[in-house]
Amino acid sequence: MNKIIIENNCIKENIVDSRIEIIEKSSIVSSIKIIFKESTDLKVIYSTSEDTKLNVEYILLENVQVNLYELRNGFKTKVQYKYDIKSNAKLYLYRINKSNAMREVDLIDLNGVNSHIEFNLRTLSNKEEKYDIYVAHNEKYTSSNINNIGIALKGNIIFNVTGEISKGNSGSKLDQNNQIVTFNASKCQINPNLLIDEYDVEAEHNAIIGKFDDQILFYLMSRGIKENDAIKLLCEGLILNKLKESYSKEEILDFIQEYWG
Amino acid sequence: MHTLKIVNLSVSIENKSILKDFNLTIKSGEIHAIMGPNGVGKSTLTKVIMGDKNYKVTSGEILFDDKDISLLNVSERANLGIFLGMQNPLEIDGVTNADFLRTALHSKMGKDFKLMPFIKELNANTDALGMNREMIHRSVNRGFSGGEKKKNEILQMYMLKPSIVMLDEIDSGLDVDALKVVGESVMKYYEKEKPAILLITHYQRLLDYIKPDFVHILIDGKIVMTKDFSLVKLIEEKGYDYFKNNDESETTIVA
Repeated sequence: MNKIIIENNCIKENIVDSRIEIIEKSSIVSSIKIIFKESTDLKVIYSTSEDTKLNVEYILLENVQVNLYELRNGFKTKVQYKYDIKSNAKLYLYRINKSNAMREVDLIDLNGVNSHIEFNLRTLSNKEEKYDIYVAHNEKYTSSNINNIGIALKGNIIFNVTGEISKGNSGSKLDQNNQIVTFNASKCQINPNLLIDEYDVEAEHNAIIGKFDDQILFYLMSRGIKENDAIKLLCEGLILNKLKESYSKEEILDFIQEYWG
Repeated sequence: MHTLKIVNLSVSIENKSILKDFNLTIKSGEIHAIMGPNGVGKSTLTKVIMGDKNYKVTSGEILFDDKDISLLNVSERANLGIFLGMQNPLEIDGVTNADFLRTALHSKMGKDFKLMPFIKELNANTDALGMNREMIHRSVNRGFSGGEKKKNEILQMYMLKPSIVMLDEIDSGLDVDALKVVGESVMKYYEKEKPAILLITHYQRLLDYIKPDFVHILIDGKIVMTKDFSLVKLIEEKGYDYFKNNDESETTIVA
C-alpha cells in the first residue's frame, strides 16, 4: 500500500507509486497537495510533537477510486483539508484521530457528475476538539455519506456538519450520521445542517450524544466484565466498526490502548 | 456444591411493587422451573438476582453460599458463577463474539487466561451447538436469527461455566429444531457441570428437554404453588387462571 508519514507539518517519508503525485509547499502554513491520477489505496500517518498547523488538499481525477486511511496522533493540531472530487471519482476516507486537541476543517467539493465521498471519522478526545465539515454537491448525481463517531470520555467534541445541494443538482444524495459518546453531554455538540435548494434529492441525518445504553452495559457485565472494561470494549467496537477491514486490528487497538492509559 | 437462597425478597420499579416477600432456594444439581402468566415478575426475579440497578430491592436478601450478595455489582455476581441467559439478547455493533468472550474470561480468570486453549474451546463449543464458526467473528448477536441468538447465549454459558444458571424464556422465538438443540445443549451442560438451573418459561415444550425437579407457579410476585413435574400437566389442563382463583393455590406445596 502507498504510504506517507507526516511529522509535525512536513513529509518525513513517502512511499508512493506513479498513481499519486505529491506537491509540498512550505510557507507560514505548510501545505501538502496529493493528486490521485489512478485508482489506488493510500495510508497517511500523522504524528505531531508540537502544536501544528497544516493544509492538506486531496484531488481525485475523473473515474478514480481511492481508499484513504489516516491515523493521526500527537499534540494540538489544526488542519484544513480540501477535497476536489471530479466526475465518477469516489473517495472512501477512514480517519482515526487521537491528538491532544484538534481543530479540523474539511471542505469537500463534489465537482463532477456522479462523484462520491464516504467520510468516516473516529476520534478519541483528550481535550477540546472542533470539526467543521462542509460538503458541497456541485453537480448532478453526487453523493456523500458522512459518518463521525467521537469518544469524549476525557475531553469534549463539537461536530458542525453541513451538506449543501444547490439548485439544479438533481439526483444527489446526502447522508450524515454523527455520534458522540460522553458522560457530559452538555459539553459536546452536534450541529447538522442540510442546505437543500433542489427538489429531486435524498437527504437525511442522524445525531446522537450520550452515554452507552444501560441495558447493553448490564448485558456485558452479566458475563463478568467490569464496568470500565465494558465501556472500553464498547468504545473499541465503535472505533473498529467499519474500519477493521481496512486497518490491522492490532494497530487500532494499540492506538485505543494509549487513550485509556 | 453451591446454594442460592432468596429470602423474603420484595422488589419494585418506579414505585410499582413486583416481587412480594419472595422465597426460593436452589442448590447445585437441582433444576427449578418458574412458570406463570405475563407480567407477574418472572424476568424481574432473574434480573434482580443478577444485580440490575433498574430494580429497587425494598426488603429481603439474596444469599450465595450463605453470603449476602446484595451489595455486589453485576460483574461481581457473574464472577461468583451466576449466569443469566437473556430473553432478548442485545445486539452490540462492532464488538465481536470472540472479543466479548475473551474479555469476559479474562475478567474471570485474570493471568490464568490463555489464548490458544480459549480459541480451541470456543471452536469446539461452536461446533457442538451447530453454529457456523464465522459467527464467532461477527458482532454480538448482530443479524442473528432468534434461534442463533439463543444458541449464542448457550455458547456463552458453555465458555463461562457458571454454577448457577438462570435461563429467562430461552425457548421464546425458537422453532422446533432450534428448541431441541438448545434444550439438549442445556442438558449436556447440566450432566457435565451439575449447576443449579432456574428456568423461566411460559410453556411446557421446553420442559420436554429439560426436566425440572421443582416447578413453581408465580402469580402476582409470589410463588403460589410448588410441585414436581406433574404440576406442568396441571397447568396445561387448567391454565394459570385456575391458580389465581382456586383456594388450593393459596397453599404452597413443597415437593
